[in-house]
Amino acid sequence: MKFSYREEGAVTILGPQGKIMGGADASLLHQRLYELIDKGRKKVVIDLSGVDWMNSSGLGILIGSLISLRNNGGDLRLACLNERIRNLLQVTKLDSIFDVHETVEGAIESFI
Amino acid sequence: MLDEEGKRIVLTLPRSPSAVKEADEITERVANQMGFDPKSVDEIAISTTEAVNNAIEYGQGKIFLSLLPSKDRLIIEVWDEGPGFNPQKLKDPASPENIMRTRGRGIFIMRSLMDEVKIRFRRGTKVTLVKYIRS
Repeated sequence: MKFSYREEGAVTILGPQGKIMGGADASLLHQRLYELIDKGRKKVVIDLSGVDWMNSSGLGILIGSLISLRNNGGDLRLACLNERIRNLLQVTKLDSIFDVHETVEGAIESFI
Repeated sequence: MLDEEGKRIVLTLPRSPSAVKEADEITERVANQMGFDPKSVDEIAISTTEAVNNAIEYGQGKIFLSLLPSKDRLIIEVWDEGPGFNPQKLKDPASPENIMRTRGRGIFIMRSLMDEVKIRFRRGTKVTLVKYIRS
């Protein structure tokens, strides 16, 4: 899985690309998250505009990211979900635990 | 490999994460060729990757993927040679006590996205997924 990276003040924006199916995807994203936590960058937005779809492994990666950040005093926002991913969150009721935003800008502002 | 009618596709997948990508690619190709709409193609691919992921994680031995296209439906089967598991023992992943678990949503998602899901768990687990073409 490839993903973009940028910083906006204290907020870090990660943008995974393609399909999130599990396997190496999880370790790559978790590794990057722990690097951010070690650096004290604990406010993270995952921009899902480049993700076509994800399965339960992808959802597990997002939950793991949320838990890791919150356990370290940070938090996670999700932004730009397509209809498929939004439906998946609704079906699994995970829309009740994630803070979801229409835009990356909205997600960044929610941290302020 | 094709069967006598030249329709059924059967693959043996490696017990590794690359199997998921392989299953996704062949499933999407067949579903697209059959004329499924893009949303259904994604739902079929997501469900197939769930079944293959489960076979990698919980099964044993070889993993098999079968695709049987027909006029009105696609039947996908994923099976392995492991001891099998009892789906009745699965916890509800959407319940408040399980909602933060990072695993255990695969079958729940398959049942949400496919028209029919059957799971046989004697002598290895066999998952059968069915999606109908909407006219």
